[in-house]
Amino acid sequence: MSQNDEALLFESLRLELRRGSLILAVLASLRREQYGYSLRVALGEVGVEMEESTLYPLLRRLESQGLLDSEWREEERRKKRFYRLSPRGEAMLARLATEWRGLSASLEKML
Amino acid sequence: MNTAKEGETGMDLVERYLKTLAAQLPKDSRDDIVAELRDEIMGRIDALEARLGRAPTDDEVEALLREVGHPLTVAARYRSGPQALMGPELYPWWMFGVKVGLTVMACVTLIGLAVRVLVGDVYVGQAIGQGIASLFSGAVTIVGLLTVAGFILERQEKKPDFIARWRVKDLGMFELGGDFDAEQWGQKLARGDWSSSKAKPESKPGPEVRKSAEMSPVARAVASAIGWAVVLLWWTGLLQVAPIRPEDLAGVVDGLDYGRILGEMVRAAYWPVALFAACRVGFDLMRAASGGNVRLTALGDLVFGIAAAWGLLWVWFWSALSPLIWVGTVTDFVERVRVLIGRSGDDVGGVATILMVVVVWAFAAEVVRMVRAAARLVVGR
Repeated sequence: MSQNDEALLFESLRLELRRGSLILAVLASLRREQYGYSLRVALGEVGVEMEESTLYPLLRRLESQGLLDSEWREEERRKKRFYRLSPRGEAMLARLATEWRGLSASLEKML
Repeated sequence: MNTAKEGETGMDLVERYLKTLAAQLPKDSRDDIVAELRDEIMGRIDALEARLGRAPTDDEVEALLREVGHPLTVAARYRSGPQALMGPELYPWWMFGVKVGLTVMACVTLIGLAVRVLVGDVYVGQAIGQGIASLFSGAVTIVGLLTVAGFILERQEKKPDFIARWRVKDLGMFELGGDFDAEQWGQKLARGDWSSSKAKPESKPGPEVRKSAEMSPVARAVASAIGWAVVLLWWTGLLQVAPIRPEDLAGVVDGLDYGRILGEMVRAAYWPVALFAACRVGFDLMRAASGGNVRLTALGDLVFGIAAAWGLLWVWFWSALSPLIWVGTVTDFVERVRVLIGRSGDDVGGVATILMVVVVWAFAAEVVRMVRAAARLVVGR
């Protein structure tokens, strides 16, 4: 296998591995209120890059599931939609975080 | 909106993009989604401008929009429900359906055409044209219908029972589609093996599974005995399946009375063929009784292969059909096939050429079969 194939394979496996953690990252970031763009930038800074076409539909879905609250507000002369974890979202995040830590700990032992 | 900042054209691009996107979105959430994405895109343009120290050009704005994604893709992500025509769970079923459907359709079409040619209803050239046309439209119809079915099933909340609650004993039929492989089919036909089981697996794992998926040698022997018994009864006229005797299968085509030729051949070959079939039945029964002994089977295949090959040589060189189908060189053979394919409906000689190809092909198949039998006889497995 050429080096290029190897890199492509790694990239696709890496994406697959990270996909499941995106929701967790979004929920955790929204303990503090954010709007879409600032959330994307904040996630990017900690190494969780998300495309617009993934993030925005995900936010909408999480809101429809009652895990997020949102409101439109004007900031810097522009109307923005601010998202924040709802009480239900807090509880769900806590449960998912426990799950994540358990999984991570047992994988850590294996690796 | 801070339109003044980006300049008219850059804004135009963004608005045009958002308008296209809006058209793809469900009405009730359209404005909301568009407003949010507008803010996102503006945020990105602002950041780009801060980085460049100047307003971005149209090309740069367009590149940015391309990063956000095509309106169709972006809009689709907002839709609930499956994002694919068919998911990975359903796809193998679709593929299986296509394989089986196409195979059955091809067989039915070809047999139907062969009968029409033999009856003299259409010429061979016409038949090939019609065959290709009906194969094509049939294939498109089958694939289309299966795709519609898959699309609908994918969007059901509960997948049909047959996907989740299958039983091992029903799995036999799925060996069918697995062999859709020209090389394997060719080998099988050459062996005279019409069963649907897979060729010997190349890798070691799962010998037990493979064994049960194949017909046992005894079962094959019995099936062969039954098949040849039917042929024998039909040949000798004891079995009136339909009022068709061998010589009734042909008619007058291209001004040649194939019925007469076939009649002569049947008279000449009557006893040899009857004897061949009778021996074959007897041998198959013996083989079944012996529990499918490999060397015995191989020896029989070799002997019957030689007999069949001899019969084909007789058809080629000495039978009543010989003057019509005999060619001396490979070049002549190829030339006749080429003429057949290229000719229009009112030429003559098509049936003879097809028979020529069939006889040569059958002879080649017998030779392959003999070689394989000889190999098995030597190796013993």
